Amino acid sequence: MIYLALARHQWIRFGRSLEGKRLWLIGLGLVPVLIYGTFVLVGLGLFFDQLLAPLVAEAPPVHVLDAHLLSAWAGMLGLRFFFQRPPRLEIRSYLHLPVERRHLLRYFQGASLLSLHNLYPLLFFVPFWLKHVLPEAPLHGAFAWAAGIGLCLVASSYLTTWLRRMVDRHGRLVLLTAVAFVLFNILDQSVGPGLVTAASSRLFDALAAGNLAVLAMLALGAAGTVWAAGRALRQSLREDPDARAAGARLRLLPGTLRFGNAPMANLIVLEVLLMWRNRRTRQYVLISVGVSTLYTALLLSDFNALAGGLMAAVIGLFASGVFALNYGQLMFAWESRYFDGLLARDIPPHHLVLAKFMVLQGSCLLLFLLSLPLFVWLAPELLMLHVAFLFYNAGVTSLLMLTLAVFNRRRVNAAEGSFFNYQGFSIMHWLWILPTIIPPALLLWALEGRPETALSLIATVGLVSMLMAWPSSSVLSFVLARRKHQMAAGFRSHDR
Amino acid sequence: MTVDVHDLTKSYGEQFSLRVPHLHVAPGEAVGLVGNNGAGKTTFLRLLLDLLRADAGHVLLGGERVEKTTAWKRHVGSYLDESFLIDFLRPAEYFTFVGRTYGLAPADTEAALGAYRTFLPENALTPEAPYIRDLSMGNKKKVGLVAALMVSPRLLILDEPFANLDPGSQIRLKNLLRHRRAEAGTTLFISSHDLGHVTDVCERVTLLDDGQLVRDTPTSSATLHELQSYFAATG
Repeated sequence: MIYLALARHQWIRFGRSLEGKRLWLIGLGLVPVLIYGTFVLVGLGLFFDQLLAPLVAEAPPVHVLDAHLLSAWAGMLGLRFFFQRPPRLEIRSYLHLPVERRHLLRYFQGASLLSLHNLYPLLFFVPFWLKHVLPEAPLHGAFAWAAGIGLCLVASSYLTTWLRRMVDRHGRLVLLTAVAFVLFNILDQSVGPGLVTAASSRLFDALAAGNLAVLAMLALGAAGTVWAAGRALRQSLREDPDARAAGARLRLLPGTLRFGNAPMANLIVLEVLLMWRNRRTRQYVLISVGVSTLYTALLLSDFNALAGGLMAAVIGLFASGVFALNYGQLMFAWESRYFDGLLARDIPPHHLVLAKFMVLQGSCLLLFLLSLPLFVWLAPELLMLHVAFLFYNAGVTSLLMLTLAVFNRRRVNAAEGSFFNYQGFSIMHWLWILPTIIPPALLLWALEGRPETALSLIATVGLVSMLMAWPSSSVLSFVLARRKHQMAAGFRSHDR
Repeated sequence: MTVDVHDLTKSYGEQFSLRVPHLHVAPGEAVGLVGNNGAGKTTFLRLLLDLLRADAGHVLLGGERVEKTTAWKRHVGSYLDESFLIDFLRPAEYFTFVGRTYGLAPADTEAALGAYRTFLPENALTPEAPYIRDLSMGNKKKVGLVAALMVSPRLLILDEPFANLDPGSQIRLKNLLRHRRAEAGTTLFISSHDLGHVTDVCERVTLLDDGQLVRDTPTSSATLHELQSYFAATG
């Protein structure tokens, strides 16, 4: 009965919360996207063999997939760590009630399995299992394989809770372990003997062959994660949140990043700390790194030189400018929680604007350097495009995003997660991509036969805009000074 | 530092309107602002700090119109609410950042904080201190108040400074405010629901009722009783 009561209360709470209403609205608006995503995953599962054929001829699809499941599982764990809401947050509001903790823990741990992170993989795995595993493996092997996948999902879900606890207590150690694991995986895949792939193959191939001992081992591992997560949750609930915050904290930014004497440098440091110490902004950083590397790699791996103007513009824009595009458009709104405090201090608007301009330009340079090896490796013929768009993004994209930013007036809580969170966005934000992407795309399309000329023009426009940073930021600071009251009123929301 | 208000009005639709025809606060004076919820106290303080645009009239701090210049900000310490705190910073980082906006080098900020160490929460200034957002309401308030006090302001504007503070901290804050005023001649403009503290610290009390300044009198031994009677009657 208690579980039913909790479920009902959670449902009512979700339905009446702003987050819930927003999710419904966004969900309705994104129905086509959801349908598209579902089709892609289901299609991947059903036609995996056909997609695989050009890459690995005559290899059994189940065996190929098995070889990469361990790496995918580890990647998913990382994704969950940053995006999955921890059950601890939900439990706290029920602790004062006369409900036994073990019931609360069981309920919320169980409910956390309904996370989207557990559901969307099934869109791929279920059709894949029906089409490839069930017909090819012995019946008990097919079911063992499916059970193994299910156990892995459960384990990754619970392991996330345990990992959070470990990060709270031994942040540095967890970080070092994660970095070591990622490095090992990369080296193992690129120059090593492929130990992870081999282990993954052995594990899941054995399951598909119906090895129940392996399944039992996996079940034991999953049970271990359930126990460890439960223990971690119980312990964390007994702690004072203030004391936990004061304790060991994952400090990725070294002590050298400090406020000093230079006012502009201080504003830049403040912006960097804002990015890293708030959940949504940090996720924007990580997503930008992911897009700049993984998505760029994906596009580059199947890109026919400068065949399409729009695609070339997308690659150029995203490879070095994705952070400026994503993060830049909500600048100032990120600071809605303390915008009054900024206005009450003697901080010249010009400094505020220029510091943000420099942050965006710096991000373009960093992402350029990060994705540069991919261009060298996968598409050296696009190096000029990459360089041209570095100038364009640093000069034009950054400026356009800042221009949009001085018109922000919707409150944003940067500490909330970014998953399905469109707080701060208006229709203007969605449309603003057009003036950013269309001019270079048109130029590349119009000068299709002479891409060097088009890229030179794009780079020149970017360079001129960079050289004009001082006067253009002066204009923006004038706009900021004129609009500050409107912005502050909006950021305060309905607060009088 | 003087505070002058001339024909100031601010409306929010039909529901609320703040009107302050005239107000003058002399340098070194301590003025308390009292009123019921929704009377317009915070709106008034925001107008003083140019955080809101007035519909009409203007505010002068130290003779400068607040909407025309920003030089006055160097001499004004203020704390209205949590929107003044950059909550993802540790207290020490926040003080250094705020200090710098007042022209204080980090070493100067550290020296300026000396007088307020006992008022701040324990270990607040260490590198291991929690972020401001992880502090309790009272400790957040202390950080905000110290940031306003440590910059040697000539005018101090505070909204509900005693709320959420423990009794010991309330007494320490009153002493700090009195000391600041006696030592440096700082003008105080304090809004509060705590009539006892306001009459204790301020030599003059102004009363806002539904956006109108209905009373502006020097504090006497009878003020507290008069205010209590007024609020009991308006209930």
